[in-house]
Amino acid sequence: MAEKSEKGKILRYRITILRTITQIMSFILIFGGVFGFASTLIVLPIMAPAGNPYTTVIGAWQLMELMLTAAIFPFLALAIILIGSITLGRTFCAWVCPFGFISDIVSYIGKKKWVPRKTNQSLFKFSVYVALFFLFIDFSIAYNQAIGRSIYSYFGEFYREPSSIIEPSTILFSLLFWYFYWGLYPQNLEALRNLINYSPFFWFRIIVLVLAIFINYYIPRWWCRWVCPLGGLMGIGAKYKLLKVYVDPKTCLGSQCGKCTRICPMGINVLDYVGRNIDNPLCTTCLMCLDICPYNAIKVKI
Amino acid sequence: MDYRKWSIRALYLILIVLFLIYAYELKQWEVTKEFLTKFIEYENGGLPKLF
Repeated sequence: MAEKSEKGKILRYRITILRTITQIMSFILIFGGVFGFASTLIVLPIMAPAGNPYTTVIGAWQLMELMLTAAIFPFLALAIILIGSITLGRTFCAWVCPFGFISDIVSYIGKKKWVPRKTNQSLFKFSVYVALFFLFIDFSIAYNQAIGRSIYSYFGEFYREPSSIIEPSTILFSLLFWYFYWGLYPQNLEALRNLINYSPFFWFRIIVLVLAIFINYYIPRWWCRWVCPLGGLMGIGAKYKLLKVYVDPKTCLGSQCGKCTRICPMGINVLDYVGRNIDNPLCTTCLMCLDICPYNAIKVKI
Repeated sequence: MDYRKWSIRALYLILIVLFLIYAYELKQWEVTKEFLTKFIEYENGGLPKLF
């Protein structure tokens, strides 16, 4: 079996490098307002907050929540989620999503811990339940809005985007952005006392953000795998997506090698898919398995 | 040919076309633009007030 040349590690990891460049470029374009880019009308199947004044695109999940809680049926957001799901699957999670990029940076420097395959797969269902839970809340808010009942007393400041309470992208790029932009942070010792007067929701959200970022050190993209509601919705259609990653049984060495399984940031056992397409709902088509495979056994096909 | 897969894909396609037509008819791009251009405070739950 001809093994890939060991010459030049840069060439060997060319797709990972290309993906990282794409992530950096996407990050710059998503927050393009910093460089004077105007807002576009682009909706992407990623977690991109609308509350940051520099964002040029909006995430489909955020748009869906904002529309639903305003009693507007989110046809556009649903269409974008369905288009993404049926064509590229969760590819946007690995190549474009800004929080996914931050998760990747932390996981590159981290020490990956092995999560049992069954646990990994069962916890994916949790993200679907998270999505259904928030959609149920959104629909109930929409109903109350439609009949003219005030729901502010029930959901407080989260009455327009309930999922933002646990959504690290909005916490980082909206909540923390405004916190520093408006200079609300303690600027002297006296002001430090005010930290205790902060709303418990603020501290709760900060804890969620810290966990969402730092657990990536041990479990890469844990939030994307098990909690992200958009990832959960997109993963449902993974079996039917047009872009496929195929493991060739003729060239794959199986358990004698297993590099693909060890490197997969979503914890997928790639060896389960020898001879067929990787139709796992967790697969984000990051193609790290394709990069690492010494025998070119992993291929992308449409 | 996997008929089950292709029938589900066809269903997806029908839904996408229907949703896009409705989105166009209801001018949902305008709503999107509004969300992207005006100040949105809905994501700032828990943000401390100015002391």
